[in-house]
Amino acid sequence: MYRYDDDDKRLVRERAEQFRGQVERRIAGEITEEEFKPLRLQNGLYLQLHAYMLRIAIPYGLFSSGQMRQLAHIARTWDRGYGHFTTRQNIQFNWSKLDEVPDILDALAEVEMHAIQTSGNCIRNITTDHLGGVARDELEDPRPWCELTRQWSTFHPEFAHLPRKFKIAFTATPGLDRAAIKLHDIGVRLVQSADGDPGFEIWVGGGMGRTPIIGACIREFLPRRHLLSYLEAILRVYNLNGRRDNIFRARIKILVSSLGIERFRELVEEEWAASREDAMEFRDDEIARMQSFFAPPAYPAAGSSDELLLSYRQAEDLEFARFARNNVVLHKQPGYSAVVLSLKSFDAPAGDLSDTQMDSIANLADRFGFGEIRATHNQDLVLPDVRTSDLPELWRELQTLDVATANAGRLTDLICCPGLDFCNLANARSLPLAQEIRQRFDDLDYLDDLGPLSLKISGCINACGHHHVGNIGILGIDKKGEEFYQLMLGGSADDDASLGRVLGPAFSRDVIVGAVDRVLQTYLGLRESDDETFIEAYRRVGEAPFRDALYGQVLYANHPPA
Amino acid sequence: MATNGQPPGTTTVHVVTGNLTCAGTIVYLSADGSWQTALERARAFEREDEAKAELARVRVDEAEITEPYVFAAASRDGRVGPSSAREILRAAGPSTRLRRPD
Repeated sequence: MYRYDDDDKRLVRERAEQFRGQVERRIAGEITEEEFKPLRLQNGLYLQLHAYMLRIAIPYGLFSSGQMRQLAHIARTWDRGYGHFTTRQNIQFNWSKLDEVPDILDALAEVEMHAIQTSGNCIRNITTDHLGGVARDELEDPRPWCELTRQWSTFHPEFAHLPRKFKIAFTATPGLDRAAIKLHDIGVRLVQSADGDPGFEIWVGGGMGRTPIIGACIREFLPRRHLLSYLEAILRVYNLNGRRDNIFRARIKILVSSLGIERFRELVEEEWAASREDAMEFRDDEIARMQSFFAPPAYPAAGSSDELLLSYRQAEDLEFARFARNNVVLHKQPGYSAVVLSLKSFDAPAGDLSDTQMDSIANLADRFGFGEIRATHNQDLVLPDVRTSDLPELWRELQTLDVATANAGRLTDLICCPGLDFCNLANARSLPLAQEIRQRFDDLDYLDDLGPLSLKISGCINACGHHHVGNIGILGIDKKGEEFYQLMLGGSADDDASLGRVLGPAFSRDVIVGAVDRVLQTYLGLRESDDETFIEAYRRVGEAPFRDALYGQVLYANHPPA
Repeated sequence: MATNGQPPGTTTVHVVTGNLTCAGTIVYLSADGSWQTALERARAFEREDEAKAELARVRVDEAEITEPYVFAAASRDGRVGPSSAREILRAAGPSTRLRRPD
């Protein structure tokens, strides 16, 4: 992984020290909240419902065991003993005290971490496929490009005050998308030209929030040396033309959609043609230098373990077999596997980890790998380099930590924002709803029968829980101070991205889980075979059977939808 | 978390609230002008414009309070309680299991 050089270390230390002074002046009353708010947001510090929340960047979801131990230390020392992993592959602490935040930033700087640009109208944390570098199906490791983009975007003076926040994601697998690039302001896919030259396919103008839009391809092939100059041209067109008069119309997706992709492309190409001569261009040696940070670890030689993994997936121990089927991913290195640690157990808030779990997982990352951990945009963790022959032992250890639920990619491996329990913007709670769904549908045989299925819950229209692109999406709304939930179906964040459609009026809290159950029963009743997934079946039959099942019967006679 | 259908005798009052600048803790303006962590001890303004006038003063005078605002609450038998899901959760804390509630 990338290691800070002396300049990086100095920058992060100085930023923490600068923020310490700003905090002291705020507490002393020397600056107002209006003056202080943009300063704290630039350092990832929000004021949420109950307390300050500090969002810490985990660049493209990659961190080390040592960094995980420091996060555990922070949780234990300055928070309430836990942290919350987010859909942007970051971690949040929900109970920060303002006067202690500078100490937290110092502690982060000790392990090459920070909270810079995790909030505000700037380029946020770069995200990517959580299997980058180990996925058997990837074209190339996307992480060096993420890191180059991170360095370019961090403290970029021209893009420090964009019309709105800006999110960039990378993927490198042909025909698959584990990073939801079409739902980002810019999505980048590593590709090869017809001649075999490496480059990028660039998508622009995707996003969720109150106006969900699937991005459009702005360039089918960009030679890789031009990545940053082309991104800069897109950002510059957006910075100059994006709306600043209406926060709800300020994202690049609104600009692209109002101009049309053809006109937006013309503007970008004009800007690029005018600026690329003077812009940064990658030399091969710089690309190679960055790639060296992400070189594969020194794997001890091992033969293929595909047959061993297959035998695990058919093991007599049914629990372990299920874990091997659902939570273990084929690795590009013979003899190795990547393992998904589920943060969606029976009764823990989705995405949460305690300090002791963090410490233990850090130890397992050292013992069963090379000290590396990944945070996924699905709010799980991955140990990327596990010897396949070690899987039974690792699985037993994970069970003791309550992170071995064999539900990766299943209904209960859901995405869920913090919702009204914590968030100042939310209209309804999402964490307890997610918990109830996990408890209602805890039969793993049933989940396997349902097959691959994504459920995503947001507590408000800002869509931090990605409800628009869940096969089943749930959106919390407020009706006269009460929580209601809209149900939508048909969304997907994959390569065949689609937006879910609301089927009808919202449901009250006491019947929404029953409504999900009715959707699942309907799917099982109409699928053509066990292999037809939920999204395939929905796309084949449309919304009518599901709508009829939800609204055409008397199930809710005593609790009618609002 | 049903909030409507208030029992007879319930009236709407207005409360000034905010967060302590240093700790972030939720507090409510009380009748004696101090800031209290318990909603029950909040001053209940019968008129919203009175509460908003006090809010304007707090915004100018009280740097130890961050992002103050006024919300409508329910009053019955002299006791003030929340009347929206948001204020119920602010008053009671998260409804999820906390790892180590302090």
